[in-house]
Amino acid sequence: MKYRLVLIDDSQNALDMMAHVLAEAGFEVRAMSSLRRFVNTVLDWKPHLIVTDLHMPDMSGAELCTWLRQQMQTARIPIVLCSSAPEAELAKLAAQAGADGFVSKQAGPVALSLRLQQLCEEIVW
Amino acid sequence: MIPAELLERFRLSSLERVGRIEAAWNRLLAGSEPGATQHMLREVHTLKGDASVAGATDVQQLCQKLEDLIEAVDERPLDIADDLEVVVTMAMQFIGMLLRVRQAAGIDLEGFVRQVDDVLRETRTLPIAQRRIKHTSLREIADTPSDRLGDATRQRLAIAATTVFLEYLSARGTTSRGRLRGAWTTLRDELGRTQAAELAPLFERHVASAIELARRLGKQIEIDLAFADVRIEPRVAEAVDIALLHVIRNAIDHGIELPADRARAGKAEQGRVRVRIAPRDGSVDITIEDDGGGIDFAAIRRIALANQLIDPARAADEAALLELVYAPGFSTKPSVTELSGRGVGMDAVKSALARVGGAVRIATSPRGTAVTVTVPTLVRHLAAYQFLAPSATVSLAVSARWTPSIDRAPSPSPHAVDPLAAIQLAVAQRQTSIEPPPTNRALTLRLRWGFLEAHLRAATEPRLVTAERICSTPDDHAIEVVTVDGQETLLLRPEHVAELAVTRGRTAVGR
Repeated sequence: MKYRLVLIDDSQNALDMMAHVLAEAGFEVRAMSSLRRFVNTVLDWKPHLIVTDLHMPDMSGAELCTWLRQQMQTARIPIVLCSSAPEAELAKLAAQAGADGFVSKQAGPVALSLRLQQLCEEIVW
Repeated sequence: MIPAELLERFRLSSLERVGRIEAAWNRLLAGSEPGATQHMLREVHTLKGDASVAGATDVQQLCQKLEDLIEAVDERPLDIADDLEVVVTMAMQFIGMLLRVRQAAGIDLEGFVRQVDDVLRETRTLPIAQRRIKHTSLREIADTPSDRLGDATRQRLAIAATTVFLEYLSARGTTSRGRLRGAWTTLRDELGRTQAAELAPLFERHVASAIELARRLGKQIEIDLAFADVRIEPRVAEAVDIALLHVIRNAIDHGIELPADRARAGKAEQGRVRVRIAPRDGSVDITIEDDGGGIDFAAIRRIALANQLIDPARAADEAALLELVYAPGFSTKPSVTELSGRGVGMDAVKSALARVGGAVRIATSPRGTAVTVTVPTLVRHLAAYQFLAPSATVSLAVSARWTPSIDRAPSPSPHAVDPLAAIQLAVAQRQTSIEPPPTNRALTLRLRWGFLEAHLRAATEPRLVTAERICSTPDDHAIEVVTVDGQETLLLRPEHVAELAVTRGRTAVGR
């Protein structure tokens, strides 16, 4: 099946590159850096999975996670934290924020898409 | 895999980011913005994330180290240990280098990472009072990739080199004189290399990628380069690099039309891009001219009105529309994957140039567009008055902004100071190859500049010369070594030698 992913990241470069790699790996991807567009997309498009960066100017990934959990329409969408922090640190942050998974950008683009594929298979219903 | 255009955009925007990080670092070092570390951390963090996704693991690894270093700096932004400063500067240089060239030769990444770890360990364990004691040797500073050495580092290196020269002048034994002379020339040459970058090699780099770009777009181009021997500071060269990259790309992507369209417009199928260099006094104009269709004012107007960027009453004003080209992110292209990236990049060009005191202007018509980039050139020459010190052993000079006059009283003025004594330089006999002075009678040299006046003893009358700056120390440093007719000469800044400069008192104030 083709998983629908929404990516949010404040770096347009990272977004474009990730979106490209993930689309190539067979995901349907919408990528954005604005919080408002993100919320609208999540509500209208109903993605299987949300992939959020950790450090963003408007809201941190952890805050976003908490906020999405509190909204009725989005509470059930799995969230994956994605950052360039090392895996060990990310694991801790993901647990604190109540995210469903994490993926480090550190391993590079190929590993990123493989890991997301694996995560989707594990956590998406 | 990630397409070349996206990687190219990552590379370009990251280079600009490195420029911003360096600018913040320089503000921090200058003490003008102690909070600059937060700004640096944000930029480095984004750069690290982008590099990770792009698969640039070496850049990512260096960013990680740079983050650690900046955090260490952040603990005490006003007390940065020398070693820490050096590795931060080097880390920024290495990142820039890795972004510029695919295979960066000569970077020992592992070795550098170990060095960073050592510095971090020491910074964190040493009591503050001791942090400044361990100095990085000059050789190590001189060995860092010098094309992007920070201004602050370069100035410190120049001061150190000047000190070595003074040591050489006052050394007595032949062996130590020879050694110090050797150290001085090494440092002087090293500085010379870091102070000037040639303009020509910059252009050559862009020609190949411009032709490749044209080929991908199905356009035919010919590039004319006119050379001139112009030298600029490395940081200025970097801004010119960014400007050339965007402007040449724009000329090919947006300016030059497809061969068929050109034929229809009655033009040669092959488009032409000309780069001309016009040196002027203290600056240089670099003009990149294409014979394409000119800037599409209708498109700019449409986008500007749609996004409410312009008052509809002014929408016919082409000058006002042209201004919008410099607005951040402004683009007439609908897609972000276009070859010249998101905007036309003129905002990046403008800000990169503004940082180094440069400017950009555009002239456009349906017959083509000319973008002129103006940047300051390296000022290497200085008008000065040269004279010999009373002992006639050392050639001295002061900037020609001082007005000299000679006091010919039979006995030297009691206020006159021996300039060598004032800078505490005891010169051994016969150091230099300067000819003996025509007369042994000591003169008193009165120097005036605004409210300042200095009375120096001298062996010869001052003569107006052009001094070449080979080792520029900052303006507030008392001494600089220059050459006059190939002869090393000590340029004094009397206003910064307490024993020399006196304020002129009532006559001047009352004027």
